[in-house]
Amino acid sequence: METNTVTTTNQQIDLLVKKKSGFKDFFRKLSRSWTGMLGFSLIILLLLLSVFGGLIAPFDPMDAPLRERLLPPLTDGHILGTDQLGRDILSRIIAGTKVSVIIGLATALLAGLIGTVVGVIAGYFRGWIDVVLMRIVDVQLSFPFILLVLVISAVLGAGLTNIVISLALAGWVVFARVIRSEVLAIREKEFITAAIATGVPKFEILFRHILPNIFTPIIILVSLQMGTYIIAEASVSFLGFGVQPPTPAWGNMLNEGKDYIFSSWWLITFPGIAIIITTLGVNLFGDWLRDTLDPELKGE
Amino acid sequence: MTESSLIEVKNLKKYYEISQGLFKPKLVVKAVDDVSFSIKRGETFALVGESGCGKSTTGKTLLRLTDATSGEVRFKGEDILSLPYEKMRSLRKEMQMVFQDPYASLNPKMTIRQILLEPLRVHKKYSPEERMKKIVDILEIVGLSRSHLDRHPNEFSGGQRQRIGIARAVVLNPDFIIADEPVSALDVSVQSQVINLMLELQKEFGLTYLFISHDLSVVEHMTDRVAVMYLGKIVELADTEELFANPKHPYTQALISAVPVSHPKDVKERIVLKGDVPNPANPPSGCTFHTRCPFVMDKCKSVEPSLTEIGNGHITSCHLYSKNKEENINAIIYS
Amino acid sequence: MTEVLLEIKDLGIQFKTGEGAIQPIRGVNFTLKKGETLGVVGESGSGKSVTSLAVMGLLPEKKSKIVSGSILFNNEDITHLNERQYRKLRGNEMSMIFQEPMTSLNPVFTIGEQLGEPLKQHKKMSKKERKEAIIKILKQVGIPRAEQIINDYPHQLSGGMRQRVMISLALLCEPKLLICDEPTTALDVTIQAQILELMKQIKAEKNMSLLFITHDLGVVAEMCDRVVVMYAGEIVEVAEINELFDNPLHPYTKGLIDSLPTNNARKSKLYSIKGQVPKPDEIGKGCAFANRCPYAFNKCVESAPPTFSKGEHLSKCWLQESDRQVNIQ
Repeated sequence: METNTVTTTNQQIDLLVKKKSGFKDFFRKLSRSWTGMLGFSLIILLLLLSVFGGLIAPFDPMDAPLRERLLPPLTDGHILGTDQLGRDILSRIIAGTKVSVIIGLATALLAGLIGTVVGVIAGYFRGWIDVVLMRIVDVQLSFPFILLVLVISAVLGAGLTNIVISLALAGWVVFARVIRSEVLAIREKEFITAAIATGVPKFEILFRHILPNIFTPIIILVSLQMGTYIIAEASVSFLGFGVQPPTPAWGNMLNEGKDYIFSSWWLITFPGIAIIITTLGVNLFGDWLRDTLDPELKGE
Repeated sequence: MTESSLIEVKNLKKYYEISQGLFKPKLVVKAVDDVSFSIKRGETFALVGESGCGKSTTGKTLLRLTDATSGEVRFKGEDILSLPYEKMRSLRKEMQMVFQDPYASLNPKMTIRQILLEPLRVHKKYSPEERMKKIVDILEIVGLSRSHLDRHPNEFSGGQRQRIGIARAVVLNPDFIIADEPVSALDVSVQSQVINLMLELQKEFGLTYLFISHDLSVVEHMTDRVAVMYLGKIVELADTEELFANPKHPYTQALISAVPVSHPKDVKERIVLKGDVPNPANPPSGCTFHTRCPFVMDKCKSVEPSLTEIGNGHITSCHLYSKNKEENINAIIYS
Repeated sequence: MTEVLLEIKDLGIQFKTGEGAIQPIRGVNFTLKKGETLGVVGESGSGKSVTSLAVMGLLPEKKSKIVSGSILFNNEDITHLNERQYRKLRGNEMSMIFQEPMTSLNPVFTIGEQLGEPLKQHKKMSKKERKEAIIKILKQVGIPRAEQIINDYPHQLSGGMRQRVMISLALLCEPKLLICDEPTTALDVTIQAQILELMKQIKAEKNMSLLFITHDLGVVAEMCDRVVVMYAGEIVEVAEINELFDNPLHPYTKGLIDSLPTNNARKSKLYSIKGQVPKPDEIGKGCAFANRCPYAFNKCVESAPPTFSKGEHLSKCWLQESDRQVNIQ
């Protein structure tokens, strides 16, 4: 009882505050949350590394002087040491950023696109098409995600494009589910009834009234799913189905390093930390984004 | 039905089916049950009643915002319930709606310019330049200004939003507007502004209103005829002045007497009804009001009264006034 | 003179927002006597609900702050109580009924469980005694089949029934002060009539004090002994009920009364107050109502009026300054 009152007053207070939009507002809100700030900073760092990584990497990530193999950290300028072929681990991690960012972003966008289209069709048109699409989603959701990714990438073959496609094909269902329920909720809003009463044609209602209103949940979901895809890529690469060596990717660095886990710990530790930090950053930012843009979802 | 009527509603029914589980029979809720009335050109016709009586559903069914179960709605002589989608869509420029909740009925992602241009665009009225002129005109008529065009709904107060909602409905120059509780979400001092605006617009554009409301003092002030609904049925229909001066149906009497006084010294003979409105999924037998009626008779429990004219367009469905001998006889047999 | 139960002195409440602080409640003063029904009338944003939440100690802690004044309950300042001391007061000495009975009841507990909670907190009773007390109070508020209702969940009841349950919940520990925040606004007229009738009857029986918050002047006219009119976070007028309706001293009160449809000829243009309620950050140094007031003159824009009294009738309007004393009728 008491908590309810407090929330209504909080909403009233929010109403009293004039709404502002734009970048200024974004940073003002961001600055109030240290987790959001941390997440945002990590993402920016990640993006910078993936674009300009080549410029700051101390060594060529592909250069393999076998004489310098398995050097521990902080020897001969190799800050994080070298691997079993003598390649600089720091440089390889930096180069791997690009792979992770590309895969995380591309997969999230592709899965988001497929999922949104399916979710919108199911939610807006309802009827048999909704039933059919949602049963497909149900069936696919009953397979373990990683298993599905492995099966698809086994069929498609390895490579950057194929790993993106298989991750997206395994991951779109999450988007479809959420977007469908968002569309169902928006459909019942009074402004949609108002649009029908005005005489707005069906497709215009979809594109002008429904889609702009589900944009926020799409953005939130894309940012939250990115973390999942980065980990999944690492897992798949670790199992040898993903990005193929010698292309530096965090997953196959782990794979190659696993044989040396007891003798040379740094081979597997640093790529692992890179994955953790990245996922953490993406997730913190996604959480903050959700709490800020969609306060009703808070705590879920 | 006179020639001057703009819209005629005949035996309109809207039933909802509620499934109760795999092996149980479906429950039928009669939200609108055999409702007939007609609205004359230029008049304001009110549908009043409490929540769940079917007044809003009637309004939505009239505009085909929800599908009727059966019945006829004739707009300018044409039965619109059977019109194909595209024809109905095009007819919507002549019949518009103003909604109750000014916060929910405007798309939060659109600017006022987009909201007001949309009706003109989808009905391909005027050239783009003329459209801009038209929406600026209408914005000024409803008491807002050109400077508001590029703002979003969340930058406006409830009263201003309702003005925008009204502007959206009027911009197409419709003949008929359904206003579903247009002022009940607004503050008192803003309510009177919006009522005044609606009265002005009616004069200026010759509008016909269907005014759906539970607020009897507003209904008394601004409407010409009133139909009172209870559990999906019209129980009384009369000219506004006649209805408020001389309510016949016990429900109407109770409803009018329940309106709070306007001065502490006014003492009202209040009829406080017992109990709640019955569940519409399981309405009482006979007259649906008999469970709460202070004048309930035996026959009310078994025989459903029919609408009877008791003089000069004043009709009501109550056994207290039933003249139909046959029905009286039947009632005696059944009771 | 009757005893005073609640006295609010110069209350000011500040809300923290992204852009700084706003003060939606400024200098609120009023008293509530024992056994009296005091109406608080105002539109959304007038601060009437915030004031009542402050009395109950339910203001959101992080976002709001009482910046001035005091709230005396039984001659004791309660603004400095901590959460535990407040909990002893709430539900026991003072209770509150809210506008939305559905959101104020917890959907996962039965009516009996919810009603049992305050008794467990404040009264030492056996389980059986509690059940009896609950059934008794439910019958008092006119709930039929009380023995069965206690096993029902809130969604199984109608709106009117839920509000009755809320009233019984508020009455359980026989509080001295009952705050009603728009208790009938969400209800239908015939149900509203029932609930108002019930509240009058209960108040007469238990000799409680009622703080009745509403925007509906008709409800005020029926329920209250005295009325406080709030506008934009301030009290603009306080008067006995008949005096307020017969002889309103503040142009805002007069505007509200005049804009009631029943006070205007049928089909005529309703009297209306132009413009709209200012947001807290839009109020200047003058009178908050000046921009909408048909009687406003220079002084109104320049400085905010103090409270002028005409016997028991208080108003915050320059028209009532002793050398002016304009009658706005």
